[in-house]
Formats: sequence, structure tokens, C-alpha cells
Amino acid sequence: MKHIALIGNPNTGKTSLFNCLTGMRQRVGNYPGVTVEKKLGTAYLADGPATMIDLPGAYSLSASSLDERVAVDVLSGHLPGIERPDIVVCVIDATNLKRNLFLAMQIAELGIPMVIALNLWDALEQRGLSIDIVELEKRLGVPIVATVGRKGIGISELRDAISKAATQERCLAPMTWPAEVNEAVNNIHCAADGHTAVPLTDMEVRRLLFDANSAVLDRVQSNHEKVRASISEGRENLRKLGLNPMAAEAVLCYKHLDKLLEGVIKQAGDAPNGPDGTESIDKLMLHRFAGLLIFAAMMYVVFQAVYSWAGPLMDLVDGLKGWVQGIVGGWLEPWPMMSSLMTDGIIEGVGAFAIFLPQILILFFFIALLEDTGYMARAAFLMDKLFGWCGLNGKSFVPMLSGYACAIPGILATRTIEDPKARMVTILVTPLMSCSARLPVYVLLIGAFVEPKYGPWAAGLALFVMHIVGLLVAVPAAYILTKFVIKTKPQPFLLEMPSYRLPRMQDVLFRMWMAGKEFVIRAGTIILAITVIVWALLYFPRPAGLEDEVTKEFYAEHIEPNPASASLLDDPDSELSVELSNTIDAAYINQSFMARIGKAIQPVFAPAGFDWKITVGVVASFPAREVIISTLGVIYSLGGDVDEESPDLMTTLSNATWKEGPRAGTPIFTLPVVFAIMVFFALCQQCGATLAVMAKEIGWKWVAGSFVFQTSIAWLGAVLVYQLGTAILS
Amino acid sequence: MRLDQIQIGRRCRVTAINFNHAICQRLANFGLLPGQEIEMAQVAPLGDPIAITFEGQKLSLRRREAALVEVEPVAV
Repeated sequence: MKHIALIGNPNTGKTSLFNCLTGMRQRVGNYPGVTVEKKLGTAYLADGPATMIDLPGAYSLSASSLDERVAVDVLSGHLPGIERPDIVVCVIDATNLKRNLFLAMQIAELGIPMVIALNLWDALEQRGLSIDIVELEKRLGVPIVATVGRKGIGISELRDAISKAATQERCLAPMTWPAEVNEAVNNIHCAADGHTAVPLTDMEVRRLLFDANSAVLDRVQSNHEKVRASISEGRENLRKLGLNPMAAEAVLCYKHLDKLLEGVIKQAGDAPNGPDGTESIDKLMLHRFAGLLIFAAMMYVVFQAVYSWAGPLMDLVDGLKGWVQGIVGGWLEPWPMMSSLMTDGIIEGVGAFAIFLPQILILFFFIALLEDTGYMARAAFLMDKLFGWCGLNGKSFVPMLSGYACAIPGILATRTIEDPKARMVTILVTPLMSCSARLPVYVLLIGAFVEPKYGPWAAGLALFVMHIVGLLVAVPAAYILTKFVIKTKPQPFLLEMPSYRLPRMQDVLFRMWMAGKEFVIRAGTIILAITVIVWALLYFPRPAGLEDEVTKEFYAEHIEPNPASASLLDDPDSELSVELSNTIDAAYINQSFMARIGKAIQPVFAPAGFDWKITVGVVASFPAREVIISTLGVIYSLGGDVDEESPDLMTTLSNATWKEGPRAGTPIFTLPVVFAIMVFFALCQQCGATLAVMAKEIGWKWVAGSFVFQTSIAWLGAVLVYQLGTAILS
Repeated sequence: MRLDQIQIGRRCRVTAINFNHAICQRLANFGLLPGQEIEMAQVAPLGDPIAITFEGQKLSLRRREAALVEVEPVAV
């Protein structure tokens, strides 16, 4: 099968064309060892199917960013497992011909047959311009097709051109370099000869000559000094020509392109020759006041959508899960362990990742809209100053904002950040944003301990403070990560602000679909596995005599003083029966492996004022923080189906007292303890699904670091709040 | 004059670029080379970054990096 690579500058509508050419037959993954997205698809051409690879958008092949380096490696056939493409389709923004051809000229050096797609042709016509395609084809020597990917125009012509290109083998004529450049290339070749795994191509050697810190130098295994010397000598000769080596390529190439493009761009008829409205829209969108207001309004809509609109869908997923659990639980009733494994382990685990889908889909719908219209670059422009100083990026805003609903879509949304360093920092701080799964903890504890005593005003303030705590830690953490921890070189902020465009709905929906699909495939299995492990820790061991023993105690306590009530136990829905089964559940969980772990590490949490029950709740919540409520329900013998507004649970917590030790008889849940718990939940990394998603984006090493950091800072925060609070209140 | 000192709506021509900084090579790849005429299009509400237009494209960069580009004003 033929291999076709699609390459082009960002914002050229390349993805739209890729979708048109490959339809829904796409596979997404990462390139080996790097977090650059790899997109493969199958294009059906006249002469059969062909593999098509969508390379990351690049402005040049200088390989200064990870994306560009991957593009260079794929095109040179240096990436293991990916064949060197037979044909390269270069997508060019017709309204920005010269700059886009700069990349094409660099690709020309590789000698791969090329087809040029002049995309966004409609935008060119709108500006009252036209390109003489026949003349341009003659001058460049490769087939050129005018396309409008957004509307599907020119796609069949592009398919034909690609099929023919394989046999015609027409390559873009590379530019002729001055003798000094060729001589320098020869000298570097000689110096590096025999010291690389694969001989360097002329193109790679030119990258060594022109780029300040070329990634190509990594290929030279030894003899570095001699290669460096030959590079310096070559650069010295360029200086003698009056060319700064760092600008030589651009100066020579743009001079070449100016001559090549002379008279190719023409006025077409009497259409308005001028701006496409982008400037006047920007006057409003980037306005000092109006621009910020519009930005805030848009972000409010996005946040509301993720936070509130997803709610009913999430309830639906939850309801569906409960329904399936009920049915399966009924079938498996004769086998309690199997029933529990299926309902509380496997179905619960599937539900645990399915519940995130509504938020992911909704967020990606808006992200695709923001990006495809061109607004995302404006958002980054508006926010850069606010975020830039601590190592984040203007584009960190959307991920961090969605982190307030759920960290998972937020982390996936960091893919819009090009700078790998800022992206890494954003991924690491997004889990500190107070997500909606923390809300039940706040609601329960504030509702039980703050509101009754201090009124709704204090309750509102407490809720607000809890939402700020994470941010207060995130900002200095981002600064420290940028300055001292992450060693990657930051990319300078240089952002193209593309013309505003109407997005193609299919592309928006397809992106949404792919985001959901990828999350299920990549993170779903890990989340499922974590849920099953936690189920096992809470379910086992099951000592044979425990149930009888608890029942006997229950009889001694409740039935013997009042023998008439025994008949109530025949009805499984009577209050007494429910109490008995809750007591049995509590007895099982109190001796489960999870409880043993909780009891064993309770001394660690003693400085924060936690008793063993809170500690078990905290430990059991590491895979998913929202389970704290139901865990507390089970531990306090109220059953697992209590929620954060359950009056029973609030009363039980208020009445809980220390049974032994120096504080025996005093309440466990004092105000400092309550806030210590909330601060712990605000800062701790208690979400297996987030860890799984982070691992897929940045690797387990960073995930481990992030986990340790957040757990320690959460512990520290809880201890600080408890100790200071107790000292002040006493 | 430096590019970061140009007022909104004014045009200027690049006279020299400090190519010792890596970002300038990227600027050059966009076609921002000595002799190029550019217009200062916008300044972000918080004063930084700035947006410039030239050759039908719009780029945004921070003031610190814009200061590496020497320009002369062009009469409209």
C-alpha cells in the first residue's frame, strides 16, 4: 500500500482535508516516545487504498519544536515503524501563499513526489484575488489543486492528483543555493561521514548549518568537535557573503519565492479587494473592555455547559448503571461474591469512566468550535500576560477552567497548547482545580457543621474559599515547576492569529467523537482495573462466622428486650431489617483490607485530627474522591446509598465522638477537623481516572511525582488547618 | 526605534533583527526580515503581548521579543 503524508502550516484547514480524504477511517495514537499525536487514516484513491498520515502542523522543518521534529523524522523515514512516505501532500493556505511555500521549499529538499492543495480558496476569492494555477504549476513543477476543505470542494480532483503523482513522480524543484552553502554542506558531510547510524541527507546537513541548536546534531554519534568546527566554518563563510547564518535560509528562500511568485497572484473581477472582516472583528474581540467581556461571557458559557448541561446526561449514565446493576445483581443473587464483583466491581468500573463522557464530549465540542473559528488564538492573546509569568500559557485558561468541572476533559484539552513545557505545567496543575466531584464533600460538611451554626452567608463563603484553595497552591506550584523542575526549553510565545472562519460542523462533531473514543480506549481499561482492585480491597476478607456473630449481637441488642419485634425481620424492607443489613455491611467493611490499611495509617492522619473512620474514608477515596460519602455511609452503618444532603449522615457525623484516648467523649467533627478534611480533599490527587489520563499524556514518572506532591501538600494543608484552627479556637 | 515602541495603527519597516535569539529565526521563517513593512494591529488589554500584521498574516508576540526587532516609522 502507498504511504501518503499530509503536511502544512497550522490553520490551513489541513485536518478538514484529512477528514474529507479519509472519512471516518482514522486511528489516533502517539508517536513512539513523544507526546505528539499521530493520526493515520485510509484514503481510497482511483488505484486502491492508501495509508495517509496527518503530520502535526509546522511552519518549518527547523525542528525547534517537538511537532516539527516528528514531521522531519517521518518525512526522512527515520521514525521506526513508520515508512518514509511515497507522496507528500502539502496543504497551503491560498491567502498566504508565500509563507506557506517556505515550508514546501524545505520539503522539496527531501525529493519526495509532491502534490499541492491550495486550500481556503474561497477565502482568497472573497478577498478579490486569484492565483494563476496553470502558471504556478509550470513554475513549481508539481500538480496543484484548488480546494475548499470546509465545503468538500476540490476533493475528488485532489484524489486524482494524488493517484497520478505516484506514477509521474513530480517533485518540487528545490532552490539553488549559493556556492558557499553547497561548499559548507560538503564539508559537514565529510566531517560527519561514518559517525552517524544512517548517512545524513543534504537536507539534514543544511539544518545543521542553518539552525542554532539543531536536533539533527543528536544523530552524530561521535566526532562532534570536527562536525561543530565544520559548521562554524560554513557559517563564517555565510557571514562573508553578508548573510547572518541564522537568517540565511529565510533571506535566500524568500528572495527565491519573491521571484517565483511574480505575477502569479491576480486581481479577480471587481470583488472587494481587502480584508475579510477579520480586522474589524478583532477591533471588538481584542478591545480592552469589550474584548475581555466577550471572553468572560464565552468562558462562562463553556463552563456552564461542562458543569451544568452535562448534569442530566451524567444522571442518565448513572441511572443506566444502577439499572444494569439491579438486573445483573438479580441474576447473580445466588452467588453473592460474583454478584458483588459484577455490580460493585465491573459495572461500577465501566460506569466510573462512562460518567466522564458527557463532560468530555461537551468540552471538546466547544474547543473544536473555538479553535476552528480562530478564536482560541485570541483567547491566548488576551490571557497571556495573566498566565505567562508563572510558566503557564494563554491557552492554559480553557483546560484550567474546565478543571473546575472535571480535570479529565481539562487535561485532554491541554493538547491545544503547542509549547510542551507550558503544556506539561498545565497538566500538572489542572488536578488542583476544585472539580465537581469535590463538591459533595464540601456540601456535606458545610451543610452539617457550618450552615447550622453560622448561617447561609458563612456557608457560601466557606464554599467559595474551598474553590480558591487549589488555585492558591497551583500558581506558586506552576512557577516552581517552570523555574526549577521541568527542564524542557520553553517555546517563545509566537502565535499566528488566523482569519476568522466558519467551522465545518462535521469536523467539530468528529473531533468530539474522537476525543470520547480515545478516552474510553486509553483510560477506560485502567479506570476499570482500579475500580475492581478497590472493590476487592473493600470486599475481602469474608470470614465465615462474621455475619452470624453480628446477627447474634444485633438480636441481643434489639430483639431480646422486645421479642415482639422479631416478626419485623421477616419483612426485608422494614426499618429493623435495613438496620441489620447495614450493621452487617459495616462489620464486613470494618475488617476489610481497606479498613485495615486505614487503621494502620491512622496515626499519619492523627495530626490532622482524623479518626480511623475518616482515615478509612480518605484512603478508600483515593481511586475516586466522590466515594467518600457512600463509604462514610457504610462505615457509620447507614448503608451505601446516602448522599451529601442526607440528614441521617449529617446527624450521625455531628454525634460521632471519640471512644477512647485523651479526647474520649468529645466530638470528632470539630470545625478545625471539618476544614482539615475539606482542605485535604481540595488538594489531594484522589482520582484514578485523572491519573490514568495524565499517564497517557505525560508518562507514569510524572504522574507518580504529581501524586506524591499533591498528597503531601494535602496532608500538610490539613495538618496546618487543624493545628492552627485548634490553637485559635481553644 | 524598536518594534515594541510602535503605537497601535502605525506602520513601520524592519531595519535590523537580533538573530542571536532563537525566536528571531522563527520570525524570519514567517517572512519577518529586514525591509519588511509591518503594522501594529493590537495590544492585549493587559499591555502584553502585541499583535502585528504583514503580508496578509497576523502574528502575536511578547514585547520582550518584539524589542529584538529594530524598525523605522513609515509615513502613511
